[in-house]
Amino acid sequence: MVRLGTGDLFALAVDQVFDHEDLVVKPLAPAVMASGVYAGTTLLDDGSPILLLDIQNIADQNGLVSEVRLRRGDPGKGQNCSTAPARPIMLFIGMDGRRRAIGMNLVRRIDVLPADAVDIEGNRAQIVIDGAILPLIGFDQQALEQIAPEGKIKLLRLSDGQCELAYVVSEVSDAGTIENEIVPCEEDRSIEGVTLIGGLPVPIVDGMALFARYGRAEIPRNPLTCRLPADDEWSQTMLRPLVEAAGYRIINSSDNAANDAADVTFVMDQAAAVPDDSGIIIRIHSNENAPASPESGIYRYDREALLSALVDARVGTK
Amino acid sequence: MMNDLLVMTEIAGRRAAFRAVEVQSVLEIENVSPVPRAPDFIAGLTAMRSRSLTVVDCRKSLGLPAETPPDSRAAVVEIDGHLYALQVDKVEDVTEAKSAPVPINGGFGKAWERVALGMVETAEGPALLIDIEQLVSGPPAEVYPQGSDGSPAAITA
Repeated sequence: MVRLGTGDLFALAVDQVFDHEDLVVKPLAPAVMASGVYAGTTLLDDGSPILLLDIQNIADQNGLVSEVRLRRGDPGKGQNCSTAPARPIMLFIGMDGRRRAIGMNLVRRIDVLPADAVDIEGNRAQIVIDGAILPLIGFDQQALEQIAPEGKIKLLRLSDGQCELAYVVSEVSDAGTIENEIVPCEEDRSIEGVTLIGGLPVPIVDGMALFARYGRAEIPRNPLTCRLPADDEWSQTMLRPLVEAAGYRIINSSDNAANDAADVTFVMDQAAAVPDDSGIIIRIHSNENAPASPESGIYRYDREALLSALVDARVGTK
Repeated sequence: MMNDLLVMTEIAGRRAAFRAVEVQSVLEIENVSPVPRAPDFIAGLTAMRSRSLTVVDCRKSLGLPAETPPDSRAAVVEIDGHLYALQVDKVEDVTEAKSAPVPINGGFGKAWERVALGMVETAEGPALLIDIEQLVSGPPAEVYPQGSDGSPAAITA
């Protein structure tokens, strides 16, 4: 049974009902949306794509909607059989046992991971997912102690399109929509406000504040590589942390260089030989008074120039 | 433009090239879930690393007959945040462009005019450089199937 935003009630006749699931629906390509019968797609656990029907539009195309004020092609309304023209949200219960909601557009997927993927120390919390370290939120020390080391934790993986956060929840309860007014809360900046959902007050997590606080530029999955002279102590102690912080993976010149082409190579003033697979070469010298020029390179304590050379190299190799 | 890498393909019997920088990968397509009532050139949906891809039959997007089944391998491209798998007659090698794309006097033929960026010279002979955005947007609006209410289906591209 489906009730549209216009108030019309429909029943869908189907061959078989398999299941009832909450899905995170993603948009479809424009050419598919143009068919006017789909609102989005999602992948089932077995990897098969599922299409979400746009009941509103289908009803409209078949002249089944009574109201004149139609909302045509309003895609991605979030959940099976829910086409109410309201903001879709996901309801969950946090580790503190309280109900909260977050905008569905931020939720990329729901994951269950072993608790030992989590690393917490003081106020810092991170989690390893698919080989990447993500900031972990929604957590406190007390909550951690409740989880057995071999236990599992449930996560909402949030994305603003650029970086990802992991939000720990104790339970994902439902998908829904915001239909009532959001009452702002002056004291708690982490929420947009509180609204009534199903008669109960639910704080809406402010995605903007969340990403502003915890988001950071995503470290690329395949970081650029940078070759440093392995035998040079200054490179290893001073340069290496700087280069790593700039998002590069270090390979040392003594490593099997033939198998490991570098995107960027640092060359010290005295070194002359440069392997062919060095990528972009950044020359460094130790004479503070030498004039800056492409030939002599960068003075080694000129942090600004070093960082900007690394950024240039990243842009250049992409 | 010189020395650009190209992914060489054959589309409706003609040698065509995509810019290699625009191709994320070449995917072995296993299952395609059909999308009823989608335009003809949309073969369906498939999945890659837990993202769904729209499968586009490039021959049909050009309005040309698909005389053979498409290559099981397809070029994966991303346009406006959507992933597409481009089905062609055959996906061949990656090769280097030996010239910038140049227009051809007299044009490229009616079907190709919309998607052609120009002719490029390669070691394997001349190839038509393809504008993938045009390819995935399909034929122009007037040839879309009509909506059941008689109005043309909306184009939201």
